[in-house]
Amino acid sequence: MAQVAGPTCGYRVVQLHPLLRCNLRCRHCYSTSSPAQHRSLSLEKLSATLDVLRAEGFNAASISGGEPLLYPELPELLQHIRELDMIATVTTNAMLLDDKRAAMLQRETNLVAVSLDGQPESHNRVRSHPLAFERMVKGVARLKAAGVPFGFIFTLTLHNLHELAWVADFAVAQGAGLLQVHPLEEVGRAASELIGSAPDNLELARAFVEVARLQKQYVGSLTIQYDVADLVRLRTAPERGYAVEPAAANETSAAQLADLIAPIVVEADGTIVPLQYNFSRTYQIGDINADALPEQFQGWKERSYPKFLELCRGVYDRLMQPAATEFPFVNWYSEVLTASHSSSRSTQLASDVAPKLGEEIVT
Amino acid sequence: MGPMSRDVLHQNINVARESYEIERWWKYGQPAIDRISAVINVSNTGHLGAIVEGLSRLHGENLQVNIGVLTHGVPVFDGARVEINIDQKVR
Repeated sequence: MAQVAGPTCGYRVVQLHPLLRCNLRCRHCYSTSSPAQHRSLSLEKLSATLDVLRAEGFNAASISGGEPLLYPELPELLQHIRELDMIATVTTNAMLLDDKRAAMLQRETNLVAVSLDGQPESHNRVRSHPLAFERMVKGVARLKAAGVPFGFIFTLTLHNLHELAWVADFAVAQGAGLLQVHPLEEVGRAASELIGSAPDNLELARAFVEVARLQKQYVGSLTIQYDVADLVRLRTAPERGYAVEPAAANETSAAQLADLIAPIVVEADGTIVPLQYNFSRTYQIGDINADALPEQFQGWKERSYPKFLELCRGVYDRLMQPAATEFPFVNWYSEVLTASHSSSRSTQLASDVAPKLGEEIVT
Repeated sequence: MGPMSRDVLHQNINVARESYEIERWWKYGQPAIDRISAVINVSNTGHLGAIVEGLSRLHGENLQVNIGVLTHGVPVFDGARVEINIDQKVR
């Protein structure tokens, strides 16, 4: 069957959250990670899961958390990813990097992504730590000295676009190859601590113009990646947003999982969901703590995948309404995530109401 | 970036599209790039060999690594500029 493109095209990414423990308690953290979190997944389970996912066509593993450097078996996990011939990336706050860890990352990863939330005072405020920026800079110096390819991730809010030029300049000065500009999603801790701070449609448009300006300025020295969907592009390529009709059931059943959906997320409780951390469990792909992962995937392909496509088509149809947005940029992941929970609530409501109606009829 | 009217913003978006295109969009923490370009200025010449060797080790089936070394300091070699381009192959 012809593969469905999805938002990341040839990169078929598995995002792994081996733990939620973190040395920081960031205000914008979508996974609500903190020093108080102790849940983690075993290396054995993660490795076995990756074996199955590689066979299902996934070619990149992105390790997040929590803080991945606090995962004791991180070197072994990365080594396993490399043995599977997958691209390996690690997202870190860089505060815990020493020379030994930097050397390990140099051996085992393709790219290290360092979180950077703006100028020092902004970074420290978002990270709830007065030395977060200072220690991050020291960690980045170790990455650079070890020859690790690295980039920065900047979380765009409604209030910090004016800092992006400084961030790009800082990234170039540090020797970064990449700057990822990702819009804040009001989920996890951000849902309570940064209410109303997600960039709106106007701010996403302003950011697009600023990103384009900065990319032109730093062409050849820094790649700037902007994580929003361009609705003009999406309209001509709806398959990027999975807004497609399902293929025949036998074709879907025979396809590799990565041909149907990417990225996928392995959360710290072992649940595998499509696209985004905390995606509604209505669309859950599997659970690595349960047996027979290949059979779980097969069941998802046959039963849940059509529902997932229906969800994405609903989001697409809504976004393509003329009055949906003034400017043609949206945080597509956030839109689909929100819709997944709305859909779940509707389903739950229907199932709650149905028996009551039935009772009334019987009475 | 100062405030601009909505009309001007619409115009600026059209201009920006000429030089910047959103090919893919990613999740937070899932960056992937096709090429990394970087420059390292090495002031301790004793480290130059190890740095170049380390970068060379990245070269393989998945990565195409090109390294250029420009030494400076005449007549005494006292530093170097190492230019690196790493292209990633996606399978």
